[in-house]
Amino acid sequence: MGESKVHNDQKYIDALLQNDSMQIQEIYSKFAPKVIGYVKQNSGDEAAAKDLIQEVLLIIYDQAKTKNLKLTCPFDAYFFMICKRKWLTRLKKYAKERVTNEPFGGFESEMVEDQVQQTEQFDTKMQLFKELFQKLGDTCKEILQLSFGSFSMEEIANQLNISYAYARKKKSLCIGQLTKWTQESQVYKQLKEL
Amino acid sequence: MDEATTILFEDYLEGLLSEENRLAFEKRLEEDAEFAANFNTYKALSDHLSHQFSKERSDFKTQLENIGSTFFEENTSKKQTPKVIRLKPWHYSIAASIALLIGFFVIQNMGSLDPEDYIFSESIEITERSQDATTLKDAETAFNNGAYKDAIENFDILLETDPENVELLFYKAIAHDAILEYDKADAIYNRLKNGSSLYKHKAAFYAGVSQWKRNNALEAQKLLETIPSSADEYKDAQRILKKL
Repeated sequence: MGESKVHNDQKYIDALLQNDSMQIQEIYSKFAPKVIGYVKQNSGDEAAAKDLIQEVLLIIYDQAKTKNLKLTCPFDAYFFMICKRKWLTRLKKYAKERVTNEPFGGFESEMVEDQVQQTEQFDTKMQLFKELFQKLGDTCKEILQLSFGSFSMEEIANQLNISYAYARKKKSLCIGQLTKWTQESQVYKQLKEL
Repeated sequence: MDEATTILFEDYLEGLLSEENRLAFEKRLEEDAEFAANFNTYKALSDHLSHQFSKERSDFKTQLENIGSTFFEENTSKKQTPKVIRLKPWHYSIAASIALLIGFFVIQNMGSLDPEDYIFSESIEITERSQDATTLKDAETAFNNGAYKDAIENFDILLETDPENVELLFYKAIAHDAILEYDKADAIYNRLKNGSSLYKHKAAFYAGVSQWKRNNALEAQKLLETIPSSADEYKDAQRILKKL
């Protein structure tokens, strides 16, 4: 997969990375209508389609930013397939409604399938990290949020009225706790096997 | 994993280890698989949090939300732009009669069926013949993206060399229909409907849905009634006919 040629549609990924508003608008006008149509056909409305599209574009952005995502298939097929599968999963999970199209079939090509699966695995890992973060105590959440935001450890120590050394130690222990939970998680074990 | 190890991880990531300790750390990464696995997970989490709480991501998210909202508002307002018509006094009596008529039809049509439910919205994959593969792909992509004008242009190019290709003709009709070029859509629907290809009943069905969309119930009815029980579209056609 690593040797596959980067597709011309990488320009859309780059547009997301550069937060290029004109190009992002183009992504919406070119690719959103099909997703909206699909969601509306399958028990959803425009509001649901709007959230779905936003969520998927954010996942793609996250993957591009942290994993240097390189698109090797057309953006249209890739984006639509992620939206479609995410929507079907949601329907199955929450509404148990009948879906008109057969679930999870119909990949246009192996190239699209690979790319979509990579993004889905990335998404699963992100969801796991987010869930585990929510399990942390309030102090941990606050220290991590501030230290990875735009605050220095000194500022955080001041703000939380703790010593600098303790703030630093606490930060690493909080990530240590997340590390332990992550490694114990079945989801993570399965992802590692892939 | 003990406290000292997590602190060591953090010091390494922040570049706070002495040269000697850094080298020892990296050597241990190579030799101690458990240590390396713990570190890799720690680093993955650290990278995730760093990205998750970054200002850059939060700016991107805000911008995305704004663009998304604008796009959906425009889309909805396009569909719902109210037309303001000034009324003269004598218009009111006509309006009242129309209101009565509409009321009658609304009561008759209380079901939730709507032409929108039946409009063609599948992704297409055109059968490749000995045609220009690039144009074919362009047509397909444009169609699937809802860029119907582009799709039509590409269909026209393909039809020049293959004027009897019913598949292309059918999608071209759907594309004209989608951008409200009804005359052109109807001409193709008619041609296909009166032919004997695989698209005969499909064309009649979508022509019917199109008429229904245009509020021509009678025309829609005539078209949908031609669809035989053997056709894939029969059930949907019957459902619409009941509604009509």
